[in-house]
Amino acid sequence: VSRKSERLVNLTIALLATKRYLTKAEIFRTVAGYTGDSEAKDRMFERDKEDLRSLGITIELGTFDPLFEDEAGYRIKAEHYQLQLKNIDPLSIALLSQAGKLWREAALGPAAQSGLRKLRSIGINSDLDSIVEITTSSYSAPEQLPELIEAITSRRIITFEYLDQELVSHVRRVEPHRLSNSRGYWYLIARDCDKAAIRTFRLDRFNSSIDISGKTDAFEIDLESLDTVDSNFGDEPQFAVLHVRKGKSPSLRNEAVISELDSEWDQITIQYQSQDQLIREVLWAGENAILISPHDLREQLIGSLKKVVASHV
Amino acid sequence: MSNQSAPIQEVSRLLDLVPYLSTHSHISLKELALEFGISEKSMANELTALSMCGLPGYTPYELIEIFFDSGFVTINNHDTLDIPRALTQLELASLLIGLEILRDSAGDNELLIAKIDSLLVDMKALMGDVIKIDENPVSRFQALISSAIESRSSLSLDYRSPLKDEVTSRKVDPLEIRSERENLYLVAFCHLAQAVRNFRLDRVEQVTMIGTTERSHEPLTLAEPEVISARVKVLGDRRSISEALSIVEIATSGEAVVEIFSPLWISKATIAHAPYIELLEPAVVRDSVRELAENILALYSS
Repeated sequence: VSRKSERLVNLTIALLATKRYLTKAEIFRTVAGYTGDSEAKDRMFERDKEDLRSLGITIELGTFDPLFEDEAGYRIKAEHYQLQLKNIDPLSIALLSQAGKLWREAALGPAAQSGLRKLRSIGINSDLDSIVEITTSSYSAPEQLPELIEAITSRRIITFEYLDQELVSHVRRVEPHRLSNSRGYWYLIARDCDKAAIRTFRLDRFNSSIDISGKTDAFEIDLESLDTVDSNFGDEPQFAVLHVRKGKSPSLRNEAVISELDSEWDQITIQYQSQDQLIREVLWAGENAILISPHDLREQLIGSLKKVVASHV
Repeated sequence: MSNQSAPIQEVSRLLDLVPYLSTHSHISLKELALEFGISEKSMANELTALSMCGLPGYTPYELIEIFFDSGFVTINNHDTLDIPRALTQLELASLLIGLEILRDSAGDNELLIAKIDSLLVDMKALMGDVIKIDENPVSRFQALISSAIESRSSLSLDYRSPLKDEVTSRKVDPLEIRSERENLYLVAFCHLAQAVRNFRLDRVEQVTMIGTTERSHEPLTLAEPEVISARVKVLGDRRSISEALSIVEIATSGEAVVEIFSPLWISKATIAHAPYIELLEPAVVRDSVRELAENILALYSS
C-alpha cells in the first residue's frame, strides 16, 4: 500500500471530521504525509484534490467568515460524501444487484461491482426471493462506454477516429453530450467541434481508442436541444405511400396506416426518417412492395434497379 | 473504473472498507478479499495500512483499529468514515442501464416495475439525463420464453421471416436463448421445419405458452448450415454494405468475399443496396439478381 494512498485516506478523514474550514497551512501541519518544502506540499495537495475528485469526493473551498477576507480553507461535507440514494430497502438491493450482475465481464462490470459494494455496506439484506422470476442473461456493452460516461459527466472534449460512409477514417473532435441505445446499437450524441453542430456517432463505427485527456468542464450541455435531436435522429420525419402485397412485408406494415386497394394489394402510408433506409426496406421486400410516393424517391429507386439490370447481364 | 490508476483504486477500496466492515463485523479475510476482488494477501496489507490512518494527532486514540482474530476481521474507532460513500457517475450509470434492461424482464409484475421505476427516477435525478435507453435491447417476450425453457413447455410463435417477407405461426420447443453480436436468438425445435432453428428475438411478433408436450426428438442440435462463398463488388456506400453483409474487408477495387447461408438472401441484399453492389459469383445467383430486378421494374411500369 503506497504512502500516497494512506495520505489520501488521512486527508479525507481530516476534512470530513472538521466542523470548520481547514486552511492549507493547518492541513500541512496536522495531516500525516505532507513532506518537503512548501512548494512540494502545494503540488502534492493539488494532485490530492484532483485524485479525490476523480473518486467523486467533492472538496469544498470556503472561508470562516464571509464578512472578512480570511484565508480560504477546505472541508468535505458529509452530505456530499455519503451515499445519495435514499430509501434503499431489501428489494432495492436485490434489484440493483441483479442489474449489476447483467454486466459480468463486460466493460461496465467493475463499476457496477464497486457501486454494489457501497450499497451492501449499508448493511441491509437483499430480498432475493421477490425477484426470482426476473431472469438475467449476461449482457454485453461496447468497451467505450465507461470512458464516454466519464467524459460526459466531467464535460471533457474527446477525439477519436470515425469511419465515414465509404469506410474512410477521419479524426473527430467532439463535446460528448449523451449516450443512447436504440435497436441494439449504442450511439453517442455529441457536438462536433469542427462542424459546430450536433452529430450522432454509432459506437461500433469508432476506428480508434478515445482520447479523453482534455480538460474537465470544457463545455455545457443543453439538454433541451438534445431532446429534439434525439427524438428524430436529425432528420424531419416524412411520409411515404406504398402498395404492399396482401399478407406480405410485415416489417413495412408495422405502424403503417393500411387501406385495401384490391384483392391482391393494400395501400399503406408509413413515416420514415432516412430516405436511404426507406429505399432499402422497400427493395428488400422485392416483388411484394411498390413505392408510390415521394415521386423523386420512386424515380431514384427505378434508376437504381435499371443499373442493377445493366450491370448483371 | 478502467481509467483510474492503481493507487486511486486502492484509496477507493480503503474508504469503502470502513463502512463495509462496520456492518459486516467478524467477516472472514477470505470473504472480504473476494468481495473487494483482490487477493487475501493484498487485503491483509490494505487492512494494515488502514490501521495507520485516522484523525490528525494519530495517537492510538485517533487511529482506526483493525483486529484480526483467527482469520476474522473487526473494525473499531472508525466513526468519521463510517458512512457508505456516494456512487460515482460511472457506478450510477452502470446500475441505471442495468435496471433499464431488467425492467423489461420483469414481465407484468407491477410491484417490481413500480420499484424499478422509482429507483430509476432517483438515479436519473443524480446523473442528469445523459443516458437514454430508447428501446430496450431485451425482447419483451424474453421472460416468458425463459420460463417456458425452464418448465419445458412448448410455445406458439409468430415469427417475421425477412427472407419469406411474411409472418408465420409455428409451434416450437424452446431450448435456449443465445446472444450473438447485437442480437438475442431463441434456439428451438421447430415443428414446422422438423428441425432445430434459430429465431431472432426482435423478429418475434407474438408468443403464447401452449403447455408441456412430449418431446421425442432427441438429440437436439442445430444442423450446421451450409456456407456458400459469394464474391461481390462494392461500388459505394461501403460502410452500410459492409455492416449489412458482415464483410470483413473490402479491397481497394471494391471486391469482397461474403459468407452466406442462402442464395435468396444475397440476391435480396444486392437489390436492397442497389445500385452499389454487383454480385460477381456464384453466376447462377447473379442471374437471379437480374431477374429479380427486372420483375420489380415490371411492377413499376404496369
